[in-house]
Parts: sequence; structure tokens; C-alpha cells
Amino acid sequence: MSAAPSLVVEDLVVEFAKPRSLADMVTGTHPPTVRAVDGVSLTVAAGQTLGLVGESGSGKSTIGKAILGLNRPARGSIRFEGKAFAERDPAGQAEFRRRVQMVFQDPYSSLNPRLRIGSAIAEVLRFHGIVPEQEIAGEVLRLLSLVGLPGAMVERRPRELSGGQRQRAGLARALAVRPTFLVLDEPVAALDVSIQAQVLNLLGDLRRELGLTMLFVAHELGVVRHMSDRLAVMYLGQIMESGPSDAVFRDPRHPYTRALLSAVPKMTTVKRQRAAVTQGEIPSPLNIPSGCRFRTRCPMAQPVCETVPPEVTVGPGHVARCHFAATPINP
Amino acid sequence: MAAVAEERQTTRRNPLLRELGSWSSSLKCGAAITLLIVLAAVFAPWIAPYDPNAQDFEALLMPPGWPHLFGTDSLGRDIFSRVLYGARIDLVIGFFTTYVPMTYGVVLGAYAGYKGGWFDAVLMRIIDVAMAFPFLVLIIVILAILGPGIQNIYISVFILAWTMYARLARAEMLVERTKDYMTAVKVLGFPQRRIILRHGLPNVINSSIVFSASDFVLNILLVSGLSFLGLGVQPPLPEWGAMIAEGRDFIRDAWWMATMPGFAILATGVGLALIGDGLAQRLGERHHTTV
Repeated sequence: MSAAPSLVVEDLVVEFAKPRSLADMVTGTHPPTVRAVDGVSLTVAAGQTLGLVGESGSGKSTIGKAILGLNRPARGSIRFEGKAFAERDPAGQAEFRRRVQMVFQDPYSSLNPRLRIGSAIAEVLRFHGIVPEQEIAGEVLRLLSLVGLPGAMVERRPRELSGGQRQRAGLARALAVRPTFLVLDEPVAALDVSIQAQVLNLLGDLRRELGLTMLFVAHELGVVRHMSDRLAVMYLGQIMESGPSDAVFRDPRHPYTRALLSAVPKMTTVKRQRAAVTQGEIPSPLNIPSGCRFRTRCPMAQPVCETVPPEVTVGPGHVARCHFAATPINP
Repeated sequence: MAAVAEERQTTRRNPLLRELGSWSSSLKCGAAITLLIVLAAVFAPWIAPYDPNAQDFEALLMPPGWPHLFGTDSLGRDIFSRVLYGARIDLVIGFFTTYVPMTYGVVLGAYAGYKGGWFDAVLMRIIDVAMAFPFLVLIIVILAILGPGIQNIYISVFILAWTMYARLARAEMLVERTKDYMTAVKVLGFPQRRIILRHGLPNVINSSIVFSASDFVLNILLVSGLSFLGLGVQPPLPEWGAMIAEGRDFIRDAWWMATMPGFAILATGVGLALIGDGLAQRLGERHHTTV
């Protein structure tokens, strides 16, 4: 089923500390650190798409940024094709920068407002020497048509483009280096629903045509459903449930996954399942509940949940971190 | 749709005209006044009816009229000619004392804002110290050490004037560096220098450009003030501030001696202030449409 792993993340911990204030230095105290990501392991097989889902504040974007080396993990390893970024020599790091690219959430800040779309893409081609100088103009046009933008966009500045067009331009810039791995950080969350579908379809087409491996970060299950081969559901810095996309959707074992699923709008009218809906806000990562971190909002919480839940394998490649994961509950 | 149609129409016109058409009235007025003064400075030898340093003891302290438009000073020199030649001195001084410190101030500030850490901390403390004292007092202190003269004014201004630009650029860079396009170029593996100078700098320079218009005026006033105190341009050079200083002794009998160069400073100030105002509006607008 699965090809060789493209990306392997093991036991990743990313912490953020508030800068030490003068008062801290005088009293010798260390400011509290926030564990945005707390022991996450995941694998993305070559050519596959992993959907990483969770509420805002769950640490999913932090994982995406850590993969690209934008924040320094406190612990754990991130290996792309068997090598961590720090282990690479300068040539290897440059290669990593070509192979792994990112698409951003906010199309309004992801493009340099001063650069015309054409020159922004041309700069990338020139810097990495993707094509010879005389072919750059043609390559820019090819990339624009690849993401469904007309060639006239070359002369446009970002402010003259709509949100969807900007997102396509950002995608073209990421594809300019011919990457094999794309980190998509909520690529459609800032777009109108009608545009979302277009961009999702485009991403699906590109994945097939270019054989891209993807990490698709989103907060809506509905968005990743048709994109992902595998799903990982995050809550407060940990993966609550992961497995093949179909299995997770068909047979969710973690109450949090079920809650997220019930939040996906459906076309068919079914009886509202009030029980699955979580209450309240995600707890502060400064003050994570002991035992199962979801228990403060879990509709099924029992006294046993004060102990750390086991990782229960419930199917092939399907794991849930819950005391009750072994029993499929379909009320 | 209307906007698209309008855009198509305007692109057919001359791009220069299109650019001018989009200027606000304060930008247009300011540019016109400043252009007039710049032209007067450039063509001073052709416009000026007299040699600015030629003394005419037949015509001492003549009131404004014909043939001396702005009158004559206590040595019989034609004030109109001196004001024209003075524009050459003051505009050049204003230009260098503004844009030389701006260049490296903005670059330093952009680096500090992007990199943070000890470089940022040290630079900001230096700036805090420099800004804790009144600018003019520090300039006078440096001039007291180096001695008066225009060259030393340049040196003292270059030592001090970059601080404001560094602060402005740093503050904007702190905002800009968190934006996704700055992350994108990092992910693309661009070296830090390229990220800061090519991608960061053009986006953090707006407030500095706006500030430079009023700084230009302030610098002309500074040099005029120093010349007035005898620390700047030395006589007989027709610097506006020095001319006012010379006219001070005759203010009761010959008001025009101090007033005419004063008007020149005023006009330059108004012109540049209007440009600054117009630019602030215009660059601010652009900023808003992109956000």
C-alpha cells in the first residue's frame, strides 16, 4: 500500500518561551514555556497526502513550520528522505529548500506587495537556477497556467489580485522550484467557500500531475476529506487519532474526532447528535489537563480519564489515544 | 467592472500623465513649489541679475523694487541674486544631510528589526542615548569639538541623524518580518541579506520616505540656524540662514534683508511639507489596499 516514507517525524516537541524579563533575571526565575507540540510522531509516504486537523491552537501549523526548519524543536527529529535538516551540508540544505515548499494561509500577506507576480516567480527561478536565463519568461507563464492564472498576471501586483488569484500565485511561486513535498498551511481557510472548492480541486489535480507528497494542515475535516490518504487529528499538541482517511471517517474512535466530524456540514439531514458536540474553548496550552488532555471537554469523560490514555490500535494503521478506543461506539 | 473599464482606459494614456493624474492636490502643490525652487537653484547663474557677491556702495540697503527685486543688503549686494544662489547651497546641504543618513539608517534599522538579538539591543540603546539629548545640542557639542564649518556640520549630522530612520525602519520591520511573504522567501532558501534588502527594505521604507520630506526642511532650518549662530556656512557665501543673521542688525531699517531669505526658507519648507503630507496619504492608501 504505502511507498517509502518521504517524511518521518518522531517524538517532536516544540516549545515557546516568553522572553526573560529583567525581573525574571533578577529573581532567577524562568518564564513558563508553552508546549505547542508535545511528542508528535507522524509519517508521510511518498506520493501520499497526510491531513493534519485540529482546532486553532492545537499545534498543527507549528508542526508544518518545524518541518520547514522555521522553528527549532526542543526534542525529537524530523527527517526528510532519511536526513534531518541540520545533518545536511550547504548543498543538501539548498536541495531541501527546492524539494520542500510551503503554501500559506493568508493570501493577503503571502505575496510581497512590491513585486509583480512575474518578477516574484522569476526571482525564485533565477536564484535556484531552475531554468536557463532565456527560458525564465516562458517558465513563468507555464507555472501560471499550471495554477490556472492567465499570462497577463505577470505584470500585476498582488493588490490587483483577488484572494483566490493570490493563493494561486503563491502556489505558483512554491511550485517554481519543482518541489516534491508541499506543506499546505490552511491553504483555503481564508478563501470564500466557492473559491475554496476551486483551489482544492487545483491542489488535487497538481498532486496527481506532479506526484506531490503533501502535508495538508486544516481545521475543518470537510476540507481535507477528499485530499488526504491519511488523517491525523490533533488536540493540544498531541495526535488524538490517526489512520487511513476512510477508516477515520467511517469509524472514528476518539470522541474528539467524532466531535469534529459532527461539525462538518452535511447535505443530508440527520438527527442532530447533541452528545458529540464539545463544549467550551480549547484549554490554555500553559495549563494542560492531566491524564487525557481532552477530558475537560469530553462528553464521555470518566474517572479513568485522569490517567494517561493508551494508544490503542483499532485497525490497520489506525490508532486512537483514548481509554475507550477499543469499543466502537455508534449510538 | 467599472474599475476594470476605467483601468483599461487609463492604461492607454501616457504613463507619466496617468501617474500625475493620481497625485493628490497637496502632492501636486508641494511638487510644483519644490520644482520651482530646484529650477531656481539650477538656473541661478542665468536668472540672477547680479553677481551674488558683487558689492555696490552706490546702492546700500535699497528697499525692494526695481532693479533690485528683493532690495540690497548693507554691502549693496542684490538680495534676489543671493537668495537664488542660496537655494543651491541650502538644497544641496538639505539633500545630503537628509538622504545620506537615511540610507544607512534605514538599512541598519531593517537589519536590527529582522535579526533581533544583541545587534538589535545594542543598536537601540545607542539610539536611545542619542535621542535622549536634544538634537541641536549634540550637533553643537560635536561642532565645538570639530570646529565650525559646513564640512563639520555634515560629519556631525551623519553621526546623529540616522537614528530616527533606524527606529522607523526597525519598527516597520518588526511587523513585516512576521508576514508570510517574508517566511516564504526564507522557505525558498534565500540568504538573509537578500531577504532583508530586497524583500524587507522596500516594504519598510515608506514611513522613512515620508519623514524625510519634513526632515529635509528641518535640516535646512538646522543649517540655517547654525549659520545664524556662526557655526555653519561662513560669509560671504549666500546661505539663507547666514543671510538672516546678517540682516538681524538692520531689522529696523531694512526689514527685507532678513525677511527675503526667510521667505525662501518658508517656501521650501511648505513645498517639502506638502510633498511629505501627500506621500504619507498616498503610501498609506497603498498600504491599506494591500491589507
